[in-house]
Amino acid sequence: MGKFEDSWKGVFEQAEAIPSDSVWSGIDGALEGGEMKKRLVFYQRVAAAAVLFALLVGGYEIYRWTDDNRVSQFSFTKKSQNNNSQIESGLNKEEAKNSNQKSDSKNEGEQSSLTKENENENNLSATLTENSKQSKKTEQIPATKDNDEREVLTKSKNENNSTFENYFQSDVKYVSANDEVTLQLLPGPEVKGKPVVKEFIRKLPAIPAAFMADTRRDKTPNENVWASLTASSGSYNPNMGNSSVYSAGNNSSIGTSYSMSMLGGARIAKNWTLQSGIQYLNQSINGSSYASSSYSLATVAGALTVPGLYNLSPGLAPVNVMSTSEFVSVPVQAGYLIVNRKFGWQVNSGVSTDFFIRNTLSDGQRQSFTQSAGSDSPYRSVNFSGLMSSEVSYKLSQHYRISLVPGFRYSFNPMLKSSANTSGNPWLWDFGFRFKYIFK
Amino acid sequence: MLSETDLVSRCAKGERAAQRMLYDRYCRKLMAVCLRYARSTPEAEDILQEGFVKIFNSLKNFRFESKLDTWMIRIVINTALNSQRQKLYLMPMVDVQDSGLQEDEKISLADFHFSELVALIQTLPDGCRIVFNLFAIEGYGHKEIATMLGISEGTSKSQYNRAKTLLRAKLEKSKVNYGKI
Repeated sequence: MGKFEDSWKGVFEQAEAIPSDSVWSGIDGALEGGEMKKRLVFYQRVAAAAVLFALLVGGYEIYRWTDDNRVSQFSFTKKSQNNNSQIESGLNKEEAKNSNQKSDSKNEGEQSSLTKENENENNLSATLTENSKQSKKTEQIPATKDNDEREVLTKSKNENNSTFENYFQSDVKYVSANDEVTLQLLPGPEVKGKPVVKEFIRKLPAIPAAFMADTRRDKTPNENVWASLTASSGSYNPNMGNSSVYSAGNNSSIGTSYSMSMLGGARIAKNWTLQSGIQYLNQSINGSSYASSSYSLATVAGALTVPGLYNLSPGLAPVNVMSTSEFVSVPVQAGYLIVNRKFGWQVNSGVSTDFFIRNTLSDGQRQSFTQSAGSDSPYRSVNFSGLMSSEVSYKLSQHYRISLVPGFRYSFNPMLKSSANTSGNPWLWDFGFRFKYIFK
Repeated sequence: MLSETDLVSRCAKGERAAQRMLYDRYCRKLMAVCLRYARSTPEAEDILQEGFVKIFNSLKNFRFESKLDTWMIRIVINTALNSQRQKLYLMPMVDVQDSGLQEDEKISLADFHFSELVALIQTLPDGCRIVFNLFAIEGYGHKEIATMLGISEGTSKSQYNRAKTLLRAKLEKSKVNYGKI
C-alpha cells in the first residue's frame, strides 16, 4: 500500500462521529419489536393449534351427531284424540291383536317419522304420523285387505324420538289388518289410500379392520384322508402261568413281537381322527424245557396248553423251545391331534379284534408243532385288545408324512381258552415306523 | 465498569441496560465507519442502527476469537455493503481508464478536517466509494473485494483508481498542497 492509502487509513483509524439520539431509539424499538415478534409468533402458533384442535373436535362431534341422528330419526308415534286406535306398523303376523287406546295429546312439537322393515314373508307398512301442538286431525284409514295378516307395533305415547330399537321394547299393541286405525295428522290434506311404503337402505360405515375376517393363511395342514403302512417291533409278555414246562432255569418271560399293518384314516373333526385297517401280529417267546428232550413237541404243546394233560418229568439237558403266535388284527383307533403342523403329534387310543391264526412250537432240531384256531384248539380264536400309542410325525410334502409310533397293546383276555391253563393277559410294548400317504 | 466479557454476556441475554452501555461505548467509532460508506449522515445512521440490531442479535454467537470492536466493525461494513448492493446492481461497476496520476505524488490530509474528508468520500460514486473504503482504509485486497462485491479484480482496481483520481482532484480543488508519494 502506498502513502496515499496510509494517509487515508491514518485519518479514519481513530475517527469518531456522534450519532443522533434517534439512532438508539430506533435500535431500542427494533429490539423490542423483535422480542414482541417472537412472542407474537408463539401466540399465533398456539392460536393456530387451538383452532385446529377445535376444528378436529368439532368435526368429529358433528360426524358423530349426524351418525346418531340417522338412527334416532326413525321414530314412530301415533296419536289419537278420540279413542281411536293408534297408528301402527306391523311386524309379526302371528301376534295379531285388536286394540284401541286413548292417547294424550303431546305438546312437544312436531314429530314425524317414517320407517319400514321387511322381514321375509311379512311387510312392515310404514305410515306417516305427526303430532301437532295446536290441532289434531284424525283420519280413518281402512285397513288393508292383503292376504297376509299384518300387525303393527306401536310406540309408547310418552316416548319421544325413540330409536328404532326402542320400538321393540315399548308397549306393543296389536291390531288385526281388518281393524280400522286412525291417523293423526297435521292440518293439511287428508292422507288417503294405502300407507306409503318407503324403503331405506342404510349405508353402513366401513367395517373396522378389527372386525374384518381373518384372512391370514392357515398353517394347519389340510389332511383329511390318508393311508399308512406301519412296521413295529417290541417286547411281548404272554403272561403264561404254566412255567413248569418251560422251567429249566432259563425261562424268559418276555418275548418279542413284530407287526405289519396297513391302515386308513380320516379326519372326523378339527383335531380328531379315526383310523382302522388290518394288522399282522407275530409274537414269540423263547423258553427252555427239559420236556422237549424227552417228549415230542406235541406233547410239550399239550402240556403247555392243557393243565394236567401231561405231567412231564425233567429229561436230559434242557432244550430251547420257541413259541410263536400269529394273529390278524383289526384295530380301530381314535386319534387326537395335539400338534398339527409340519411336525405333528397325535395320541391314539382304540381297540382291536385279534383273530388267532396259529401257534408254532419249534426247537433247535428243526422240529415244530403248530396249533391253529378252532374248536379243538386250546387257543382262543378271537381276542380283544386295548391299544394306545403316540404318533410323532413329520410332513415330507403335501402327500407324505412319516411317523414314529411307540405303542402299547393289552389283551383283554388270555390267549388260551378258559379251560386251559390259567394264565394272565398278554401285553406288549412296541415301537413302530409309519409311512403315511395323504390323499386329500 | 463491566468487563467486556460480562457486558457481552449480559447483552446476549437481552438486558437493555447492558445493550445501551455497549452502544454508548462503540457507537461513535462505528458511526465514523458508516459515514464513509453512506452518501449522507441520515443514511449512515440507518446503517448504524441496522448494524447494532444485528450486533445485539448475534452477540450470543461471539466467541471472543477476535477483538470485539473489529467484529462489530465487520458487521457494520457488511450491513453497509448489503444496503449498497442494490445500488451496485442497478449501476454495475465497470472498468475505468487509469487516471494517469504519478505514484510519487504526495498527498497530505493533515489540513483537512475529518468531516471534510468524509464529505469528500461521500461525493464519490457508489462503486468507487465502496472499493476505496475497502482497499484504502479497511486494507482488503482487490481479489477479496472482487469476491465480496461480485465483481472482477480488474473492475475493483479500476474503480479504486477512479476513486483516487477523483479524491485528488477534489483535494486539488480545495487548494491543498500535494506531497510527492
